[in-house]
Amino acid sequence: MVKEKFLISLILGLSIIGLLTLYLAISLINPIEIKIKDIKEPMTGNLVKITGKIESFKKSNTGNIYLNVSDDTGGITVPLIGNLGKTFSDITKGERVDIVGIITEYKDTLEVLPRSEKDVVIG
Amino acid sequence: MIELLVFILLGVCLGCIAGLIPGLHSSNLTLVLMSYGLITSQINLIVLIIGMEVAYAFFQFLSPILFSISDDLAALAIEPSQYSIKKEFVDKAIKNIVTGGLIGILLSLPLLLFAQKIYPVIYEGIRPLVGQILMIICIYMVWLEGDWKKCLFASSIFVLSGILGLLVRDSGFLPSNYLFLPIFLGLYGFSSIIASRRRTYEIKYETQRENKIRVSVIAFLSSLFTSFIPSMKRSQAAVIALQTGKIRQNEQILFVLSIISLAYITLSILVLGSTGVVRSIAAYNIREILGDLYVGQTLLLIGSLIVAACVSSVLALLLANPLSKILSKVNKKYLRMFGFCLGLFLIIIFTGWKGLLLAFTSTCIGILSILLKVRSTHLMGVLLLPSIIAML
Repeated sequence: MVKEKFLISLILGLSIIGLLTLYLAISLINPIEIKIKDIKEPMTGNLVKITGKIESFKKSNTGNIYLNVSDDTGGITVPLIGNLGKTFSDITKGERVDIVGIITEYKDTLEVLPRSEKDVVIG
Repeated sequence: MIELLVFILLGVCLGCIAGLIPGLHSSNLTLVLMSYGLITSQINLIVLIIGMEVAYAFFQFLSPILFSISDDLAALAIEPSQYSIKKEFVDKAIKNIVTGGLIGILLSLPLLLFAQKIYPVIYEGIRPLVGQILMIICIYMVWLEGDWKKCLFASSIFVLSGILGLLVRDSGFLPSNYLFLPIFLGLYGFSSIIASRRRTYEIKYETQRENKIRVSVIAFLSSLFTSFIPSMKRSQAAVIALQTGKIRQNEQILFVLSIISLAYITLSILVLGSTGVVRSIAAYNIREILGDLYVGQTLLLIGSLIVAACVSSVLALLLANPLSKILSKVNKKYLRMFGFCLGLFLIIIFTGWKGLLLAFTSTCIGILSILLKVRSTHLMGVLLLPSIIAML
C-alpha cells in the first residue's frame, strides 16, 4: 500500500514536472519573423511574427474581425476571434500592425491567428 | 457504372491501407490525390474519396491493436482493442466494429429527408448551449465514479489532462496536424503498455439485444452533435455517448465508436447535400471539387458510401479470423514492446523532442489514471476542458 502511494505520488510529481516543463518550453518559443510571401502550407502550426499595415477588414455579426494585413511582399488574413475582436473593435484601415500568431489553414487559405491581446500591436 | 465501382474499390483499398498503417490518415491521401491531379474525372475522384473515407472509418479501429492511433476517436479504441487481444476475441471485436459502422449508416440515412429542415433548428438550438452541455457531461462523468474519493481522483485526472490541452492548443508548440499524435499515444497507448498489469477492473461481455438497440440510439444521437455543431470532435461525442449511456463494456465501446465514426461521415455528406454546409474534411474536399451538390450528385455519393461500407465490411470480416489467429499466437509481451517502439519511432520522426516531452507528460497522466483506478474517458479532458472554456 505504501509502495502504491509512493508510486502515485511519484507519477503525479512527474506529471506536474512535465506540465511545468511544457509551459516553460512553450513560453520560450520565439516567433519567427517572416515576410508574408514566405508563409507556406507546411508551416501550419508554427508561431510567426508579421509586420504590415491593415489593408482592409471585415466585421462579422458575432463580433469577430477579419483583418487583411499586407507587407511589401503580399497579404494575409488575420482573424481576431471572440474577445480579441471586441478589444480591437476600433481599428482603422491603413494602421501599421505587428502580429504574432499561429499559421492556420481555414478553407484552404492560410491565416495568422493571434493567441491573445498581447499578440496584436497596433501603431 | 463499372468505372465508378472500380474507383470505389480503389478508394476502399487506399482507406484500408491508411487505416492499418500507423500515422497515415485518409485526409493525407486525399490531399495527395487532389494536389497532383492523379485522377482527372471529378466524379471518379469523389467516389474514390468516399470509398477511402468509409474504409478508413472502419479500419482505423484496427490500428489500436498495435497501440497505434490515427486520431482522437481511435485513441478511445486502444483499451477495448487491447482487452480483445488479451481475451483472444479479436474476431468478435471486428464484428462489433462492422455492425456498429453499418448501423451508424443505416440510422443516418433517413435524415436525408429532413436534414434541410432540421439542420437550422438543431444548429441554432444547440450551438449556444454546447459549452454548458459539455460541462454537465463532464460533471456527470466524474459523479459516475461513485464515492467522493474516486470523484476527486477523476476530477484531478480531468483537470491535469485539461491543463495539458490548454497549454498546447494554439500554442505553436507543434504543427497542428501532429499535435495529437504524442498526446493520445501517451495518454492511451504508452500508459496502457507500461501499466497494463495494474488495470484492475475486468469487464464482462454482454450481448443482449436490447442493450445493442439502446447503445445504438445513444451513439447515434451523440453523433448528431459532431455533424451539426462546429468544433465538436467525434471523440467528444463518443465521451457523451459512453457517459450518458453508462457504457463500460469493451465490446460496446468499440460498437459505439464505430457507429459515431460512420454516422459522422454519412451525416456530413447528407448535410452537405441538403444544406451546403461543410461538417467534415471529406465534405470540404467534395465541395472543393464539385461545388454545390444537386440531388443526383448527393444520391450518387450516398450510393457510393453504401457500396464502400459493404465492401469494407466484407474486407474487415475476412480479416477477422486470420488476424485473430495470428494475434493469439503472438507473444503479447513482444506485441506490446513492438507497439511501444513503433509509437516512439513515429513521435520522433514527426515531432522530435517536443513530441517526446508531450508524450512523456501525457504518459504520466495516463499512468496516473490507471493507478488511481478511474476511467480513461477522463483523459479526454485534454480536448473537453479547452472546448468548454472556449465555448462558455
